[in-house]
Amino acid sequence: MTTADDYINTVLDMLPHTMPSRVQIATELRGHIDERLAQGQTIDEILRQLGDPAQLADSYLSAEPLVSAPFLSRAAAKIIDVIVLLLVMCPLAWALSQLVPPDFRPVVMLLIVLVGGSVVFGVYTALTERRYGRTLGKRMMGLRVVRESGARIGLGQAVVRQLPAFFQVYWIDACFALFTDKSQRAFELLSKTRVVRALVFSVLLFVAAPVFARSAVIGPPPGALIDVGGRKLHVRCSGAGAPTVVLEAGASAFAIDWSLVQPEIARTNRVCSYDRSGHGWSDGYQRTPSEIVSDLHVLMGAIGEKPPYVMVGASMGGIYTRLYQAQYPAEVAGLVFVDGSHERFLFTLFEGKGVPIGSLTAEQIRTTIPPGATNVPRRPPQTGAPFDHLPADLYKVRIALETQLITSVPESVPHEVVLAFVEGQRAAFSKLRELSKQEHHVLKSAY
Amino acid sequence: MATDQTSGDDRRGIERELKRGSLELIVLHLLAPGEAYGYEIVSKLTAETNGALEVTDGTLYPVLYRLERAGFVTVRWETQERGVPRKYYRLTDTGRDELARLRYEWTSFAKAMGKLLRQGKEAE
Repeated sequence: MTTADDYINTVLDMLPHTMPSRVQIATELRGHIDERLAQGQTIDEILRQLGDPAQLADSYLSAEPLVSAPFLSRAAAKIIDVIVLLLVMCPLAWALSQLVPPDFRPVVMLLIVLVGGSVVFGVYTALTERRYGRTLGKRMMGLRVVRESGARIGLGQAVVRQLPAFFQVYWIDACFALFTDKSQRAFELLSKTRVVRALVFSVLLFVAAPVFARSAVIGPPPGALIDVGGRKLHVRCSGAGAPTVVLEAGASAFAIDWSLVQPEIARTNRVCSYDRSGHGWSDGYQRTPSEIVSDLHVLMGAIGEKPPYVMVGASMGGIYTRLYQAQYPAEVAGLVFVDGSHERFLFTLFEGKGVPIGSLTAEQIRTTIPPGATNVPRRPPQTGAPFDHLPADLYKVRIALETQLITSVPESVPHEVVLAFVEGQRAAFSKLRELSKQEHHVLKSAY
Repeated sequence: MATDQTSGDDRRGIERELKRGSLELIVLHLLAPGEAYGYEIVSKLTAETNGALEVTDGTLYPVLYRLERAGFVTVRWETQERGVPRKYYRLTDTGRDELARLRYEWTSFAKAMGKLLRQGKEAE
């Protein structure tokens, strides 16, 4: 089994960390290997059929367009890196020069900055380009260093790229980038590497779209905005009659998604739909499952609804309603699932395998998150069935709300934020997992 | 020696390009009847051609990925009761157009080649 993991990891290792589909590629390859194993083939045979992992990675990457980095942004990236280097090296050189007699200080300082600086610079650039595909300056300018195929560069290549600085021919070398086909320096031609724009195509479109869409289409909230401690959440209640029914929408879904359901329930019962934090007309950012649940608890209290509630969860909402029941058991009279999600089927990739997020420990989930910031791929909002069942005006609003939701997540999310978010999910899912340890659970979802 | 090497490389190059060009047609064609997941497509290809096309599993997945990026297929993940979730592929409208275009190109190419090769034979 380890060889299958090794194979997948080798492929992954050659795909850039910023490639949004890495995890999906790994999951699909893993699925393929499993299917073949189930057919009784040996792992050696299967891996031979898949071929050289480097070639596989290259073929995947050939689907990604590579845009050569403009010369000026490369120059700007280099200048940023040099400024950072000087900010570090000058105080260091000054401190070290205090150890020698005053007469020698200027010489020593100059030596440390020039010689020590070049060495530090070369090593830093080679290591970060190998590890992350970019230095700080390149990152700020949205650039990436790749093999000619688009794959991640190797250590040897990273070192060869830095040789011109070592031989003091950097300027001549850099001029090649002005004339060569793919704007490569001489030593980039030699190392078969190039600098390209980071994968952000089509993102700009979606960022630009909602700015215009927002005010015009979305309009005022259909319900009330209620303060839950510094943030206002959007909630709409209608009808009368106990118990109160609480409608929890799915992931990337909103209170208005219940527009056709809510009036029907309101004939016999009090019924409330709401937007979670960061969704629809609600303030704030997207929160972890346990925060979502306590938000809802505060919200229902604030508008004076009387528990116990019957909670209806659609898709991912089914996870939140079960978590609500676990966190506030006295407040829940019953649970209804509308194609509810189940933590058993919410996967992440761990050691080359798709495993339920809730089955991992906090330490294990930590290892599944790549170092550095995570690029969040932008997707278009969902259209068509079942959303087009909504009245035409609400359907338009829904698309605008989802576009707003997608673009509210920054393109690049810092490591610690991703970590906190994923750990929040893990903690919630494993809590729910604890409840159904016996495998047979009294609550059944659509799965 | 050096020239032999080059012409050998060129020949392999032509074969590779032919195969690469035809792979997209093959995959789009196999998806025409309806949705399928990666492994299903791979095994269908081997079964229906008796392995004559010598397409390795490793060449097929990146083709699917390319088609997805180009918008010719849409994908959907389906979780399994056991094991790894499956990625299902389905042709989009532009995918169907592309399939029709590639089919037409391929048949006119094959027709022209057939005609040419027959003429050559008569001359012999």
